[in-house]
Amino acid sequence: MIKRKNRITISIKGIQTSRLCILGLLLLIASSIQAQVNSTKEYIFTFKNANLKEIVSTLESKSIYSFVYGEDVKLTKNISLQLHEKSIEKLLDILFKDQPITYEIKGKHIILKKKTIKRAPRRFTISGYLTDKSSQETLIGANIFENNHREGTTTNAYGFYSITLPEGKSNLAFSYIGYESINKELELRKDTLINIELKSNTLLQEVVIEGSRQETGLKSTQMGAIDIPIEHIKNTPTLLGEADVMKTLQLMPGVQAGAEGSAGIYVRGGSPDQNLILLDGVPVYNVDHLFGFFSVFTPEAVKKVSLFKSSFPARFGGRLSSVIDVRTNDGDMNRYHGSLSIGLLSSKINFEGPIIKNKTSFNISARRSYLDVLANPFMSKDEKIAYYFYDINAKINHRFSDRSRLFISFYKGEDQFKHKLNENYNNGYVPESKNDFVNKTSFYWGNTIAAIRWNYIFNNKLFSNTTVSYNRYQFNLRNFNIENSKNKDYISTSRYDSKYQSGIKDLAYNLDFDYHPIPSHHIRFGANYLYHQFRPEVMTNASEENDNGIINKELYTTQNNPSIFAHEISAYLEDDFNVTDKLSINAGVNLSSFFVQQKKYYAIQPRLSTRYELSKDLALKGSYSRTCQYTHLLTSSSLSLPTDLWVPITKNIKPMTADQYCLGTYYQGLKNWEFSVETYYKKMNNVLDYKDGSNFVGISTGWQDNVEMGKGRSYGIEFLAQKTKGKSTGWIAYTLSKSDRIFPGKGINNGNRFPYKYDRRHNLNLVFNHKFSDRIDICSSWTYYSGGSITIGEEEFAIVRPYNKINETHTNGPQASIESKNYVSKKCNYRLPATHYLNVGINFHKKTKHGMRTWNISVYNVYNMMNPTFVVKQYETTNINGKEVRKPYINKITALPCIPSITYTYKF
Amino acid sequence: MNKYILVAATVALALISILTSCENKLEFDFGTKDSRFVINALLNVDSINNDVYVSYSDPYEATPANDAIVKVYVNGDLKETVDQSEIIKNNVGAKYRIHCKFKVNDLIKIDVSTKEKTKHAWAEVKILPPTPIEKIEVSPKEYINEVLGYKNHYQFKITIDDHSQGEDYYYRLVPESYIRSKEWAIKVGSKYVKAYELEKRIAMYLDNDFVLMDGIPLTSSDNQEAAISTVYNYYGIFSNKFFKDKSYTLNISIPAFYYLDNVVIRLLRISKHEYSYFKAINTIDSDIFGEQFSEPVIFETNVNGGLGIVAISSESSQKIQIMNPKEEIYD
Repeated sequence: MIKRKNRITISIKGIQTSRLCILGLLLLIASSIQAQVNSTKEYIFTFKNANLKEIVSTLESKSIYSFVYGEDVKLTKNISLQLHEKSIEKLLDILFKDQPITYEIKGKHIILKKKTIKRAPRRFTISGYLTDKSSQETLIGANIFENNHREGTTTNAYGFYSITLPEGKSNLAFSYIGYESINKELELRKDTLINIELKSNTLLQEVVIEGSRQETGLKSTQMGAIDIPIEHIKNTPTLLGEADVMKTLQLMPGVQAGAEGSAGIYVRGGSPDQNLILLDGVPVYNVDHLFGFFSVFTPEAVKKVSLFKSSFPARFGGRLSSVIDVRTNDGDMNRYHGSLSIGLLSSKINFEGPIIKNKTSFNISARRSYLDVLANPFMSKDEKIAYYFYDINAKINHRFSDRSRLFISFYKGEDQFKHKLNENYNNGYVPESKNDFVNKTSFYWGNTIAAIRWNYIFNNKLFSNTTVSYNRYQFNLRNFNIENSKNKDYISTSRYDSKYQSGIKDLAYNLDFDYHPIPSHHIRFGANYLYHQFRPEVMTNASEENDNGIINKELYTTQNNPSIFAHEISAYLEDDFNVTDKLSINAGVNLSSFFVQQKKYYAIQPRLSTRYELSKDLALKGSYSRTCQYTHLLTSSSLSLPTDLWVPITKNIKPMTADQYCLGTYYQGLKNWEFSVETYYKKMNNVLDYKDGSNFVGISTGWQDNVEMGKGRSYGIEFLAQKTKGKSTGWIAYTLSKSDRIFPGKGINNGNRFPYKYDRRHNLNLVFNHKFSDRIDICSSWTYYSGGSITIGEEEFAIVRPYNKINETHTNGPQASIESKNYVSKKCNYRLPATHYLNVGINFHKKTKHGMRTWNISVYNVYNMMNPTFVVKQYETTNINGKEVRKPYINKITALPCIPSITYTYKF
Repeated sequence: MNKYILVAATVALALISILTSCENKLEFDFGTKDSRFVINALLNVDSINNDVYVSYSDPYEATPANDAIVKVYVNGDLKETVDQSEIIKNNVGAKYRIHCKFKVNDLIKIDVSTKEKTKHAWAEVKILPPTPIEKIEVSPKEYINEVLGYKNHYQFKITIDDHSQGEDYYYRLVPESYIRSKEWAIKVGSKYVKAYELEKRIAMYLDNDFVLMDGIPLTSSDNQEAAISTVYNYYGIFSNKFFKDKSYTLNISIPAFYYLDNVVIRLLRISKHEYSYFKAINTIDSDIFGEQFSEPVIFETNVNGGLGIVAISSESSQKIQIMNPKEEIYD
């Protein structure tokens, strides 16, 4: 018993045999009776195994309150409590906390009522597709937000969404950039399918950078993920007015071009073959036209482009440095329309429409360059050179039902080069002789991709995508000579025919599932199987000599490197979930295996990215990714050459792996502006490079002996400030980075660390777009990057050739020769000067009776900066101290000075 | 030069720049490197006339080092000192002839310094034992290729046994054809005997030999019109990577020169440094791509304090007599 002034202290202890036994002491100070009505008094009770009814009675007797309750209130439970409370409310809260009883204090009465137990609300799922109202084109990454419960989701790569909400009233907002938002109120009583059609709003079509906010940006768990709307790609001023997906990506932080003007992508110190470039989910091996200066993606056919460079979602695998996911248009389900574009380099046409209205649609686009056609009249009759490239994209989209859709897509693109030479001449030594010589050289290279995709919704929470695809990259070269010699007695013909072929073929089967069990979880899982057929090279040479009808010499040689078959199997599981209101995590794992030449490789690739919301407009993110790559591109040049060859890993060459750690902050507090800072550290294992003195030109045989495996690392910080809405939009992207390589085998750079070829310390991109009116808008970009590193001979030394070189004759006795040559002490020993250039374009739009015409005038490299496309060490003779010496110098070749262009586009 | 790829790439560049590409000189300080000795010595264990070429490296052009002293150490003992040199005609190197006798397993050090000792460089190499030629079979062969201009060839099958015990061995094959170029009669006693002057030629067709072609048949020197050019093996180098601890028969053809007197097949055992050196020269001489499209060839060097290559090969050889060696005697 505790005896205190101004306190009510009661102790009740229950005994097993009796319902209530007060064993404790009750001390009540006389004055405290008065004090019970005083709110400052304290109630001190101890109950041990006491019956509720008795406790209530005790309270009634020791306080001013009386309890009122009906028969439905059962006070039968025994409880133990130790109370030390200042107010009766708190005392009652504790007393009835775990009881099915509520109380209400009215004056001096405490009314007890039976607690009505609320049934947990049932949850139902709303799902469906979001499409463009006029064309029925699915909208990727559109936002769905429920206002009452503050839950949200986005559409997936096929325009499908699913959100699970509590039963009752729901207020859903559907929105997508450039479209009018729709709010939908409904009483949710069962799983519901709602297909939403959003109406395009031209007033909102100012250039924006990011569409959705779940896969990218502040709200996304992912880091380093950027969505590029196609409108933006079309608006970016580029070389010869050729809008290019890759060149727009190069303006993003952490992404660089190779040689200036080329479409090659170098992401965070990775090489171009480390980018997984997907066309509707199918990997594309060669994405270049014109030796890398243009990419194969025709903007007219493209719907959306996403770039992942930090935390790759687990569903992607097979490459180290980035994922570039290009999705094409499905085709308008309701009406026929298209566009025609005529530029200096190429023309493009796009046409789409329904095959069966609201059921089946098609989309077809084609592009062809035509300099060969324009140049042809200016070439001599005897010698013709022709070069062109083309792309064809076709897609058919059929809707079986709201649950089931089928897509058939086809892509073919090629570069073709042809050279033909005719010569007629007389042999002066043979009277009446006539000789004809014809040489034809042709080579062509490109991709063929065909895919069938089936989307099926099992139920409102489970979406599936099944893809079967075929992908082929092939390079063919043929050189053919024929020479006829005739005189009155003699006819002879000699032929020479040489062919070369190389390539890679893939057959793939992908099964992907999207599962939305509850709004806080978005689970993706699936499996992929890739059957690779690497065809390194096949060469044949045939020659024949025919004298007066008698074949007297024949040669047929062939080199047929056997195809290499490989199986790549992977499975993934990924969950994007909210741990708390502020903390969300995307965790996943990609398990892959590769079987080649009786060797098996396995890789476990965990992926994790987290987001913590500091405030509504500020988020912190961190991520870790492990990636693995089983194929290599053999190349020795800074240009994308058709002889570059994809080869698989072997038993000696292990898979490349990379571990990337990132931290970042995203801020969106300033209206229409978004800011982000990301730092990264990436370490790569088993990267390949050619040993000193070795290179690669089209022949893969023995390539393993010429390369060495090493390590790479890359780290940096990226800043991005972007204005996404308004008449003026654009961004500033700055990257400070470092990337290097080390090959411990000492076959490269004597085992010392050296900078990566495209290790550029600073990279700044400014993009500015302004819409003056519906008729005129301008777009501009300024790019600056500090010089990459190249290898150049920094001094001259001497090499000696022994006398006994094969196929030499020594009539005056053997003589060795000695020659002054470049000496290279270390790789990547020379820094190129910085490159910077300004591109500007202006669009003039005009509505016509049947559509809209646009004139685009662009200028590449406006201030004619002489940037280094290539550098070559050359020599000149100079006089030093009266002596003529050979003086070396570095010759900078600028391939892309100021180049204006004009493009006409008509949309109908 | 792979002319077709190069032509196409050049056309591409021309297209994109609409024939307006520009060239400018870039600042590059070539003058900061100190001049160093460049020692080039491809020695042969059986020769007593080996040449050491000494030059100075230079930012502009290598120059002959005719003021050098070349010392030859064998197993740590100074055996020879040479300070007289002959300037090679293109004024890039100075030739120092050494006459030391070497034997297999000797450790050879070539030490070069200036008289004032202001510059000094050296290299040390061990003489590796030769690999014997097991046998050579020769058979006349009809037309193989007309590039060399000879319709008839002799096919040589050269068998070697590799006893490397899993180590990497490197070789050079040097087929020397000796052709009777001049003839005259000399009086021997009362008779006149025909005498010949022999001219040496190094000519060989690799016959798509897997090892000599490094697994890459159809290379440019044989097929000028071939679709894809590759590095050609001008110096007949190969390694034992395809036939470690096994025997292998190299297949080559040698043109049936008129008055071909004999052929000496020399099999040189070379060091890895020498192999890499010749591989680099093969790459340069094949001239597949210009420097615009590929990086310069990087040479390995094994000279301490300087640059260059010092290597010494051991040799096994066999002579195949083609023409009747019997002396023609005139009365």
